[in-house]
Amino acid sequence: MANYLIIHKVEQYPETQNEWIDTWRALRKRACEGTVWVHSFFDPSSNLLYCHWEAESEQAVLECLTADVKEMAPIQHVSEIVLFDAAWLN
Amino acid sequence: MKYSFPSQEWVDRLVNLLNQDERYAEVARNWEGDMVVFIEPDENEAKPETPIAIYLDLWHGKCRKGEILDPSEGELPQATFILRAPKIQFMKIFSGDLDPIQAMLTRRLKVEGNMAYMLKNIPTVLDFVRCCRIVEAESGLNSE
Repeated sequence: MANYLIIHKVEQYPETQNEWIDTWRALRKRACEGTVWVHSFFDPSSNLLYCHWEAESEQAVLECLTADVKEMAPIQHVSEIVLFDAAWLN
Repeated sequence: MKYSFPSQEWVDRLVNLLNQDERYAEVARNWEGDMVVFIEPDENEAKPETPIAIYLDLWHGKCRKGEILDPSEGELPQATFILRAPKIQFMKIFSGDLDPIQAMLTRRLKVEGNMAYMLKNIPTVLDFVRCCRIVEAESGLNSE
C-alpha cells in the first residue's frame, strides 16, 4: 500500500472529551475498510493536523473522511509520501 | 522531606515548581483555568482508599493556589476543569509509562470541561505534566 499525507486545517474543536473520542473512533472505524490511519501529528500553533494514511489510493483515503470530518477539519493538502525510517540506520 | 502523591506536601512542591519554572511560565502564559483533580481508588484494591481531590488554580503561567480537598467534606470549588482517574493511572502518567493525551483519548483520564480549550492548549497541558513528573521523580528520590 502507498503512504499518504493529509493536512487538515482544524476549524472546529470538540467541546467535550466524549465528542473528541467518538469522532476519532468513528474515523478509525471507517479507515478499517482497506485503509489504515497510521497516526496524526497536531500542531496547535497553526491548527494544522498532519495525518499519515496507508491506502491503495488517494481516493480510498478521501472516502474515509466524512462530511462532518471535512467540515471540522477541511483538507488543505493531500500528497503521496515516501517513508524514510531513521531506524533503518541502526 | 519525604512526600508522596497525593499529599499536601506533594501539592506544595508542585505549586512551588510551577511558580518558579521559566519554561512553564512561558508555555502557559495564556492559560486561564483552575482544576479539581479527583484521585479515585484503584480498582481491585483490597482496602480502597477514600477519594482525594486536589485543587489547582492555574492562571497565566502561575499556580495561585494548590490544596488537597476531602470530597466528603463540603462543596468543592466550581473549577473550569475536572479530571478523574484512579491513582495508578496518574502514577503511569507521572512515570512516563502513559502519554497524557493517550490517557484522555482512552478515558483512562476523564476530563470534564471545555475540551476545545484543552486541545488548543496542548503544549500547556504537556508542560504541566512535565512539572508533575519532576515532582514525582523528586519524591521518589526522597523516599529511597
